[in-house]
Amino acid sequence: MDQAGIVRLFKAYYARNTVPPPSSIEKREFAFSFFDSQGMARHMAFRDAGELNKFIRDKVPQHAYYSTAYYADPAASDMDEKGWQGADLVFDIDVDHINTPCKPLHDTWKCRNCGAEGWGFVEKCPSCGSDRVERQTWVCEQCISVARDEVLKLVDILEEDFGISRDEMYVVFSGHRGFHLHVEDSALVDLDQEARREIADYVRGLGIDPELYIARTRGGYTYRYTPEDPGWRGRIAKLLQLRPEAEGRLSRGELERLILECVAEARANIDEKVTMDVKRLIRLPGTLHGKTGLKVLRMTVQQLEALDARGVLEKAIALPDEPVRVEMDKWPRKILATSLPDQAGERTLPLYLAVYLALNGKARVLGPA
Amino acid sequence: MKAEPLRVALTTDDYARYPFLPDALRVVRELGLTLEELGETPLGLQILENARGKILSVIENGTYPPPGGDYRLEVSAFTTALLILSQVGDRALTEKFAVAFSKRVFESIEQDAVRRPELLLYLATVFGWSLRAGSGGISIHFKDYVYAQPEFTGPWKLVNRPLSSGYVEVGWRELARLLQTGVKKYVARLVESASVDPSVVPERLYAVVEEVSQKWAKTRSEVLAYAQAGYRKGDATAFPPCTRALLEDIKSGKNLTHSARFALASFLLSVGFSVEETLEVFKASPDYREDLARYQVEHIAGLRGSRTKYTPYKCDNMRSLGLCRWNCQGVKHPLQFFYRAVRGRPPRVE
Ligand SMILES: [Zn+2]
Ligand SMILES: [Zn+2]
Repeated sequence: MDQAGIVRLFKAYYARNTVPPPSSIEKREFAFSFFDSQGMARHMAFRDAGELNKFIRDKVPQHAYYSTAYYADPAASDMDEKGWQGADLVFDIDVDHINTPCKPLHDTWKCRNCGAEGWGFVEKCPSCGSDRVERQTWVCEQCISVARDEVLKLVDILEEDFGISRDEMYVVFSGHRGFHLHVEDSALVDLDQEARREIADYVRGLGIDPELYIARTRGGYTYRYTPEDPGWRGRIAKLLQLRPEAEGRLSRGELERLILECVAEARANIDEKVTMDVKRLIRLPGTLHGKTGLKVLRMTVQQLEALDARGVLEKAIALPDEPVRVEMDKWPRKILATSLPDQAGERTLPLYLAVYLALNGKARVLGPA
Repeated sequence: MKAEPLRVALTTDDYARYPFLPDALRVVRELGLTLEELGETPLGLQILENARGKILSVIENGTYPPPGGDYRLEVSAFTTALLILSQVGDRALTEKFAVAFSKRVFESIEQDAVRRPELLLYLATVFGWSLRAGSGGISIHFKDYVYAQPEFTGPWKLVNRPLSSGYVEVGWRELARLLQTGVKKYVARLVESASVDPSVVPERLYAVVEEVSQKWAKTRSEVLAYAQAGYRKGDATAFPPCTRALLEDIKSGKNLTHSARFALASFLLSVGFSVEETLEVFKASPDYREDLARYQVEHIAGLRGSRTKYTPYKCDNMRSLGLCRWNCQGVKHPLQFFYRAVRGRPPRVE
């Protein structure tokens, strides 16, 4: 199957499904990229769901985005003329930035400097130190499970500490490597970048000064707060209770190290750039991710809690599952919820998986099985 | 403390100390003084002269004069000063005025934090902040806290605060400090909204607007010329030794730490270097990255984020950060050194 075949599958999906509009659709900027052209068409606006869906059905975009910001004139091509009126608070959790334990099973790298290659995640070439490393990354059930845990930690912090109600949040599986958490709370839309940075730092536990959390006692240092204390004070105390080595008097250095370990455990691993950006474009729920063919899936926090990673992936599968023959040079051993035994060459897979491999890598879909 | 208006008994003395309060402004409005009268009647001229003096004091020595005895004069001169600033239309001057004014007001807030804390709660409602009085003290909504947060590190950083259900616990002294930022931002907003059609501004008032603009431009350009000449000549004697050392480190190809970078950039920006000129200085460092450096410098310059212009660390902080090992006589702040040097009296260095 060539690109035209994939476009036909996307077209058929949009013919059968309606993309739900984001709230205040008339104030949002939209942007799309297409299979047959480079770059992105930006500064588009739609009056209602009908207009948006007509456009998507006609043009069949590869990727679809909308602005987290609200604008007086979202179609203005100059950012200053758009008339910024506020923006949702958005958090991005992407396993690309998190070294999940499954990466050696599906990610590969190749150094463009010395030609070395291997499995797993590296930032720099381990043999020559060059950062000109080409990476082939895949997503599996375990990756999604790690990302899901991060989302749930984030929800807890936002709920308990910031007092943001679950009814004002929703989760989006991005269709690829992670999740977005959107907060649509009218009291928070006008937060500026600096305020958003403080919130991002807070959920990441960044800037915690362990010195402020310890007290000197006879013969050593102890943690100052109890699990009932609000904010990070109590959160750290709860985790310290689970660590036998935290009992009794410790040296300053030991206690500070333990505190930071608890912070690392409880923090939500978000990409702070997304939260700080008040003019961000983000994937439109209900559309297909153009690099995986999976659906960008919107759900409530409760729905995410009820699903495991496999459940999320199953719900995101939007293309048919009829068997096709696929050929590929270097197969990942795990992808989505499927394990692939070590073997080279040709094999038979469901169509949606073949499309993911073809869009994201160099797989060739040979035809029906 | 939501919609319910807080009742505080305000005296005329309070009006003089908090001239931005709606009640104070109402009292003056009741005087029925018109814009034209500011340039004509004896009272109008007295008000205008007083307002002029306040702004010039801010430009010349960075302080807002202490309140005088006549609250009517005090409040009218304050509002007239806002009007003049809005006609001058220079954001940096407005900022400087708002900072100096908020420092003066802070003295009153600090006293009232002990004498009658309800006045602090009242100030918070004037700024539209959401507060809760609890058993352990006072809590403020995180949005208002972050808006007024004086520092983004250590005990002030949100992550180190007790935050629960959206509210941050603060002590009375901390609330006073938050209110100081609140005053500063509130006054800057008042200047923005004080705009009047320039064609109806009486001539006498307009003369003051021009005088202030010229004084301000001159102060800025003199200072800048001095700083840049010193920097170009390579001796930079107007700079305090700590700042000179940072410049030398950069020139000799050392990578500066984050706080050293902040200290240097905020100093250069404060003495009038543009963002471009400041970046030029940083280009010598081996780990220079144009995008990152530009972001940081623009941030410190107040062009991004909270739009607060950051001032350099005080000497004490420079020392505790390991950035200063000198002792400059009678100087508590690197900028103080600079301004004295500009006036030809550089402090003795030990
Ligand atoms: Zn290499
Ligand atoms: Zn994985």
